Amino acid sequence: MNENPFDITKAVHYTNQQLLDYWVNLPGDSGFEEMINPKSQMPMMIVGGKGSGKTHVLKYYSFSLQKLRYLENNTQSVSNQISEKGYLGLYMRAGNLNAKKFKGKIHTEEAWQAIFEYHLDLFISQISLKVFVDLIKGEPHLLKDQSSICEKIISLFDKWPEDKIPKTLEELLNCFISFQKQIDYKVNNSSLLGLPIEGLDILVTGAKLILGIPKILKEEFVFLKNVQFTYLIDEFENFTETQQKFINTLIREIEAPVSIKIGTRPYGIKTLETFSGGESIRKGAEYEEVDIDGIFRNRPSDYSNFIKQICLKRVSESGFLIKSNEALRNSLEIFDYDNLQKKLLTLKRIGHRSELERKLPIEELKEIQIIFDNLNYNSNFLYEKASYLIFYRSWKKAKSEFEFKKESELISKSLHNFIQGRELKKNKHRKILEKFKYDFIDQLSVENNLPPVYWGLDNFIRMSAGIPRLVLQIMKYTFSWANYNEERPFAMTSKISINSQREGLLQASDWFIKDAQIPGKFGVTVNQSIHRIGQYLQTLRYSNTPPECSISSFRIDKTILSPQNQKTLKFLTEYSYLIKTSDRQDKNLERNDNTYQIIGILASIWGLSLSQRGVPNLNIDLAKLIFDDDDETGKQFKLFINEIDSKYNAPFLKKKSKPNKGKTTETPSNQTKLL
Amino acid sequence: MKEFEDDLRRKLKILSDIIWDGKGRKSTLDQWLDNFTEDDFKVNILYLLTHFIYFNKIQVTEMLKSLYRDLYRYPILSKIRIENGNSFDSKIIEPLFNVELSKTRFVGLGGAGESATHLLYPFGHINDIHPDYLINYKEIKDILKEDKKVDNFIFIDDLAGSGTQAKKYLKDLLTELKIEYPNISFTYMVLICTTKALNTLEELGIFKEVKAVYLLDDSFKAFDDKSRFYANENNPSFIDLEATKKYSGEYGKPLYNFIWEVKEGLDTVKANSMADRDKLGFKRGELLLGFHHNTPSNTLPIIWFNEKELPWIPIFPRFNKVYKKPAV
Repeated sequence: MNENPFDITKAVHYTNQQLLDYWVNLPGDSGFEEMINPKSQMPMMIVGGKGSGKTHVLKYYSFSLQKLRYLENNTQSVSNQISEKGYLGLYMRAGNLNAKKFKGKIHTEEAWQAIFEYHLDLFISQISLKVFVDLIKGEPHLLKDQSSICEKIISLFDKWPEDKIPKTLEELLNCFISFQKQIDYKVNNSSLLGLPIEGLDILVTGAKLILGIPKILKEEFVFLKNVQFTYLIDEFENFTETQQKFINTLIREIEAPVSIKIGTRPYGIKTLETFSGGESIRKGAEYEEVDIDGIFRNRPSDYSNFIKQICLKRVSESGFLIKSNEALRNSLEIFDYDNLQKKLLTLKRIGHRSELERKLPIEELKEIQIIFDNLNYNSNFLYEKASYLIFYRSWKKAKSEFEFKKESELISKSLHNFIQGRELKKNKHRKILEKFKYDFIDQLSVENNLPPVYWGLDNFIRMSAGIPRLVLQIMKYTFSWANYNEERPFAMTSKISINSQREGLLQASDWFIKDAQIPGKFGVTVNQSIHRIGQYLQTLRYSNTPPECSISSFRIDKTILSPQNQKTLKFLTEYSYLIKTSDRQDKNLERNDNTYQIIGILASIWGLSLSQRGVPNLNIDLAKLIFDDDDETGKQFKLFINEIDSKYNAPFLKKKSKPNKGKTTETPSNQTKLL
Repeated sequence: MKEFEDDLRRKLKILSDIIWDGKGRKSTLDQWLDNFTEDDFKVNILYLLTHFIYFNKIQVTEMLKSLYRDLYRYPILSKIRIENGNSFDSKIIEPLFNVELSKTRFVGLGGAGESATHLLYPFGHINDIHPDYLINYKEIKDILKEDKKVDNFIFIDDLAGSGTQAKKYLKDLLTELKIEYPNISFTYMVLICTTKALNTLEELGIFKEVKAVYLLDDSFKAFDDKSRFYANENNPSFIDLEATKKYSGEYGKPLYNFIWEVKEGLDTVKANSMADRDKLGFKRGELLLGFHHNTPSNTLPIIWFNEKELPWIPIFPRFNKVYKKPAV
């Protein structure tokens, strides 16, 4: 069995060497270096959803990886190269602090905050000390006498509790570790067992170590003359609101040679307030914000190349001979319309023809045959689907008795003209095919139990909506299936089958939902809401007369939602189930509409489009049916879907079914699981 | 049905990836399914396969550890501690245990081609037992004559499905030895034992004790009334125990008939009767399990039948037994 190149999908699970080996810079004019600008004094919030690659980026600029890169480079010493680059990255994960433990009824919030600040000061300072212990070990000439630097650092403390004064940075580091352990021990016992914290001296206050140590080090080491200390604080969302306030205060008060870059999820910023009179830090003036997701989504071509490079690195690191983007793309089977056309010709019964046969309210066989002769066109099923759509639309519009045969004759003429290239400007087939071509392809696949067409690396990249980990997950499961199916994935002569890709995508979408799932009732509400949105859009897209083309999105005026439903919508957006694609002001209606698209990895579950063109509106009643979570709404939603089913599908029953409390209804005919 | 079948295939893929050491990959699975002609039956066969219990190398290693530690070593340690004032002192306990160990021989059951014999070496290696303490059952008599200290023989086996194997090799031998050496103890220790085999072996009266790491009751029989494999009330209606039993028997019978008639040389009538008995596994075993080193005959033959003369593709092949000596 071959090793799966996509097995690891989270940067925290990589070794430093793997982080370096798998590093890919964002192509285009502005790569990560320009984006993050690690030697810039300006503090920065790097905002990105789960799996956007924040950790990888932040770690890449940390000392551990700087050192690996500089050693590989081998032209100059590590210190010289740090000096040349102008920054020293000091990385920490908030998750490692277990910041939530600083609470408990036995002490006041202020006391806990003071302990936390002291703990954080020690914790972050250890990172600086470790870096310099390491540097001096590699380059002992950098500092011959360490005792004076130790004395200066000790002088930052309000009180030094040890009789012995450390003479080296390593000894000093051990003192810091021991201070921190003491805090951990006392805090854990207080937090977990409710015991009072006794005998804990706060030896230093006000982030003196975080801000002071870099200054002292800079004075002592010549190579640091033009070097900035860049604290890279990851997982900001793991701090409590008060703790974030402290970090925000640091951002406000920070001065050379220190800067802070913070990695956070979009919903991770709980406050922008500081302890400086409760004022907030101001974007643009006091910190910059980099929205990784937005950058990836707004630069689709760069993003696509970036992801391909990531995949290529992984594949080639695993020993496969795939060396170019083209070879990588070609190693996955992709959709080919000609194959679909050929496949359809081999079928005994074709879905949309059988459906019309069932629905036509005509008994005379000869007339039925004429209608089908007019509508069917074996040479191109897309043209035929266009004929069917025109036919169904006319049927739907018909006010009096619909003349099926006559309409089919008109449609046949229109098709004939289209094929001949006559009167194209007004031609219905042309207009419809321009808009609905991809809808028809998906419908033809689904109606005939053939796999829909979300295959190939380019589609997987589109499905990820700027979240690189999603592509890696899809590729991970796809590779695993291809291996199981003995397709020799990434061997030069073979292709990963559509079947393996389909199973891989299905598993990845299942993973996506489970990964974001939260326990409890709200988790059920969230899950239910996204399924209802998907089901609603699916019903429209796979109807006889879809109201829009390429359906995968909806429009809503958020202000019409109840607070609880707004919370659900916010969660769906924050966890990337839905991608907010635009804000639009409708002046005529005096409303602010937001447009949301179901993320591609989930869109495939309901067979929705990966493009965004037609955007149905969710009015207040429909929004309630989708987001409310009581049992009655569930029943009402099913009735509503039946209503939609009747409205958009022949024979277009106009009668509106009234919600019938306590009575469940059948699932509509075209509600199928598509993958 | 299609959706259920897809789910079964997904489950089988995970089993293949994680539990089955990569066995049962798609092409093997499809070839095995092609043995069965009725399409409607295939979903039942797939369902059955999702319940196949496979003991991979890691699991067998852990079971061999457990067999030695839990069934042999700990009871002796317990006895030693009681005899020495509940002592925890390893300086007292270990030497006394080593004395007991030196008086014990671990015996592989069966001939050179039997799987239990193959287990003996890894058993000794995993548990750090000196090779001199590992013997074949044919050596018992000689050891009793040569080494008067040895008074404990432990027979090691991987599976006791019906008890037939142990009975075949040991009944006469041990009955004879128990008369000649009344103070010698013979114990049978097995990784997996059915309750039926346990009763059979105990009733033989030749073993001081019969012990198993895993004891399987009738719920582990594929088509028993209490079968655990069909206990799920949410199964779709087309998952049918009785129909699968019938089909498995119909497919299994000619396979076992071939073994009895062609390989074992029984006459047609006798072979037919034996095949009728064994069509769902040797002596109506109805088991659904296999080891990484082999699949036992008590498992359904449709799973393991692997004779090149018949066009049957197994999913977990049983290594061919050489049934008869070739003519010289």
